Amino acid sequence: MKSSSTLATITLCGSLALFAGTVSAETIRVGIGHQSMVTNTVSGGIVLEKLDLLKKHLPTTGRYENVKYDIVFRDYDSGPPITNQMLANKLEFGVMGDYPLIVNGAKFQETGRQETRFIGLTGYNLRGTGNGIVVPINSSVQSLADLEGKALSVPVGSAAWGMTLKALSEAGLSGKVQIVNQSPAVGVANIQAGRIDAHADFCPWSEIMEFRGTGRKIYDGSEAGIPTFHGIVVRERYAKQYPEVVEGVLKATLEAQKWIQENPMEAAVKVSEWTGVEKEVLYLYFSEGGITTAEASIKPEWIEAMKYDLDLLKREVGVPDLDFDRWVDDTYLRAAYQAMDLDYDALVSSVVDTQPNNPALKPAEIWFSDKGIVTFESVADMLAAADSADTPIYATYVYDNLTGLKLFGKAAYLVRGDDGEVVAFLKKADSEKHIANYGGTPVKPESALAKAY
Amino acid sequence: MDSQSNAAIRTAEALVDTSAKPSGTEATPDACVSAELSPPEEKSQVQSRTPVMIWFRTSGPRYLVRIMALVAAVLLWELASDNGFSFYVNFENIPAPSVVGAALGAELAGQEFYLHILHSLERVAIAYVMAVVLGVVIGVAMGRSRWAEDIILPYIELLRPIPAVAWIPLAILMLPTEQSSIVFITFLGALFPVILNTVHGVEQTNGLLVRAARSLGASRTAILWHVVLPGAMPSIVAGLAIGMGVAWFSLLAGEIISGQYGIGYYTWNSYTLIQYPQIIIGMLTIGGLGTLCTLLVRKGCSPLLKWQARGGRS
Repeated sequence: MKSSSTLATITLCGSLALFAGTVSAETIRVGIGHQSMVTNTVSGGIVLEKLDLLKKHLPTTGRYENVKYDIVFRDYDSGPPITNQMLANKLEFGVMGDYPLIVNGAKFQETGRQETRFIGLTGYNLRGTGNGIVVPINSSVQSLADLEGKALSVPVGSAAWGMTLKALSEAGLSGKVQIVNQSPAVGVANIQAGRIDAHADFCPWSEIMEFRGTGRKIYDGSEAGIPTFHGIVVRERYAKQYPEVVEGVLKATLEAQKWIQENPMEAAVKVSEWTGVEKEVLYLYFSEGGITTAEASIKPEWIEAMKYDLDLLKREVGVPDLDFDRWVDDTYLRAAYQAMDLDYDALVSSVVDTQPNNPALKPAEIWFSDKGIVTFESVADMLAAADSADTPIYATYVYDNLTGLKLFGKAAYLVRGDDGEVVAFLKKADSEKHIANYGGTPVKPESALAKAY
Repeated sequence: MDSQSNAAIRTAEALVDTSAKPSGTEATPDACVSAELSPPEEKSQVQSRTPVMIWFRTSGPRYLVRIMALVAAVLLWELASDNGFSFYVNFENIPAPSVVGAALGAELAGQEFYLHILHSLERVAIAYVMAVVLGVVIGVAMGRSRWAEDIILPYIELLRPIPAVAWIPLAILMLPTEQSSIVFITFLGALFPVILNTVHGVEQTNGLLVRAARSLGASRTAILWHVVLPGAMPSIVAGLAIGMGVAWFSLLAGEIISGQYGIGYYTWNSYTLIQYPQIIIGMLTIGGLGTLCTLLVRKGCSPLLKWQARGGRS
């Protein structure tokens, strides 16, 4: 009897001590909802998680001295579930594309109880590449006009959807193409099975389909000319309460972006291991001259683009209004840049854009399985090297002659001029125009390049 | 597995019975179960005059209670949403019934909503008819032939627990159109309960009756038609009712890939745009349509069960 009461006392004291322990050390949750499959978001999600960058950058001094961080990463396949979790107070940060970001901000403002703040970018493409319209590889469709009377699927409410509406209306095809709502996974499967005439999607799905040889891009997001980007939102109350934590998350993001920019090949290999997206596709995004610019500053261009996007969302699917002045808040980002000794304003005014025949870039690259990335002075040299290569090749890369977009060599339409030089095109029609104007012959798919990469 | 599914089927039968025979007959073995479930006052009032009067006296108050229960729930929900009730369960961001009602009014005024419902009804109808025909045939075969049961049962046991959503990728690859993929997923949902309940019903056939029929010179077909099937009917009907319910919740999974119309698609699409009132409308519509269709199945099947009442009294 006595011993049992002693035991009870000990247990009680023990549990009290435990309880007291948790009370004295405050625990702050850092919950981040991200989409690892979406290339533009990796610097705000999967890279932070796998390289453990948060631990390095979250504050540990002053009032945070005894704080414990409960770091939670949740991986979703689209933005809305993240907004759902944030509304339910289960996540603090959300990383998503431009359209879902707007829906997030607008939905929160609509509640009137709590709001979110848009605090920085994870990646962008100024012209809108990353979004694209793809047709099954054997389809006869070569341009938007060929889609008249056919069906096109797209995830409604995504940046790809916004691009599609703009593209169709500019081509005078509004209402003449049947638009069906489909998630990326289903759309990609449908393209593979040839069950739909076309599918429009965001990064990196068009390029995945090209790389897997199941689809062919007939329209690139850059033709619509609206920037596409992904960014980070945070719950406003949380940010007010722990501004240093928000700053820490942004610092970690900046480091992740630096890592991607400086080691595109390594980043492509690693992110591919973590996400299952092919490394060749990721390199197309991460590399210099590639599709994604991993840089965080909030530029006026982005706000302009989002205002356009919001109008579309309001008109087409009844999304409530969003007060951008309240919602966009770069103070945390400025603090993070300052802490990292970077000039924020200089970055804001510098925008990475694609340009044809960019002198800063070599015109062709091969990714060898053993030697890694090798650059070439001309596409012709690259083709010769690819032909005579005795080690396996992962992929080849060239640039579109008209826009400067980075392309898979195997997905490009190549033209060999009479002088032996080779130029690359995204679209068949452009390559034919080039031949008509300047002469030359198409490099046949049977030859060199189209082997496997 | 058997005792469990037996119990489930029994309960389902009981439900079928109470709704099919509101006046409460007591002699058949199934009615014993229903008598357990229904309150005792039903028994004493069997002798009242017209059926309508009986209904009002017996079931009327019970329906009133049911309606009041729903109304109370809606009122509580309204209060919780309006006041941002948050104690473990959080209602802060849940739209109140009045908000949902307003959104529903807007939907009912337009045409889209009816298109969604029509498309879903069409899919469920096709899938369900296929599941019933195939399910009853397979079920009877399994119940009558040990060979058939041994060959088919492993497939059923293996495939049955797979949730409808998991079939989506394969359904896309295997079937030629979106519509057929969705119908396939819905069909699978409805198929298994129909098969299993049919098997169960057929296996429960009273051996005495079969031997009696045989000694009277009945052929195998005649025995199947006049003894086995009528005997299995209560169980089959229970399976049909359960199958209809399952068809509706499989439909939502299938319609995730629908791309354009369907009440499941409507609900899912509302989620991608974070439209909570519409999500609730979609949920309740699926619930309502599911209940309605199950009720229709039970009513439609009640003539098949008439023998029970007559035979039971002898």
